[in-house]
Amino acid sequence: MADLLTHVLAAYVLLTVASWRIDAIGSEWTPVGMGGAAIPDLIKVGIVVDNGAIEGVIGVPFSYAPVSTLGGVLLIAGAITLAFERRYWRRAYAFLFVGGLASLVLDGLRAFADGNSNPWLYPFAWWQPPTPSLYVTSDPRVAVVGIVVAAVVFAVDRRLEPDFS
Amino acid sequence: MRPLARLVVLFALVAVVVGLGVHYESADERHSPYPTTTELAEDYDAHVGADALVFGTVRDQSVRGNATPPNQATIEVESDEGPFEMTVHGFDADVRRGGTVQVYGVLEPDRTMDARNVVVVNPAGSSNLYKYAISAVGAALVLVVFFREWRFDTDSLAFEVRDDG
Repeated sequence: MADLLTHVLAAYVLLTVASWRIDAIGSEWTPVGMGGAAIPDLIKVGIVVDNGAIEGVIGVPFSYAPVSTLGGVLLIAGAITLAFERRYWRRAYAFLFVGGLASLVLDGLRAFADGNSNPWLYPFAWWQPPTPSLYVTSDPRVAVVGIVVAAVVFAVDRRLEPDFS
Repeated sequence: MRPLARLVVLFALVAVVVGLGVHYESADERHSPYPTTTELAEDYDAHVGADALVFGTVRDQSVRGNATPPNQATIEVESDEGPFEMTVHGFDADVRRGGTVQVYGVLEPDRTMDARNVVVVNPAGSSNLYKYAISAVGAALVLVVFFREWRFDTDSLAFEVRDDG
């Protein structure tokens, strides 16, 4: 997957540009979408608590892989939504989901030796969409592109809203 | 919703995520177009001639015939049965010892693969350090921008928009 910084910046760019046209995307919602973009990265919890430890507790083989899939994003976005005040739930869930989905799509573009990405539509399909193999995560140019594009969007956003303090 | 009810829903959602993890682990093998590394570790010879996609850590690179640069590599592959080594022919990748690669190709006798395509995941063992560092920056960024717009309301135990923001 792309690194967490790139995920978060991609969601920032997406939502900020969308907010230029869609008034409903207030400044408080962009960070929620950025948080949602981090959901697929929760798979990295597996580095701290490996799947063997989970298997020891639940007694059956376990994989963290669904965390970085459509099903994982739908459920974990729901769990995070509960941390918001009731009247924000609908919007919080929508923004968390959009951010997470953007990360899944971005990850679906990374390089795989056989030309197919992970089955990230799980559990709705096991299909492995073809990937254009645009990048590998360890390539620093990925994050550099993310930072540059986000900086440009940030500057334009400031200019469009001169009252922004 | 009262805190207790929220907690119950939270646990239910987490339980479903864990359930997906169990299902994925049990069903992944059936849906994967290639043998898993554990299947290779258990009975390699049964899969000779099949296509495979394996992830491995580069242990050694060497020259077969009179080719330069190195066109053969020894990689260490993880499996549930423990790690094992494979020899990769037609290895065309710019990677150092300790780096991680994906190899797509045909399984040949004696734990040898004829590579059709090699993707460098991590060019060196140190690449993971870069990923962790850049991801930590991403996590910090999310927290900072989120708490500029939101605060945790200790009465309702939920996030509320900052009115001073």
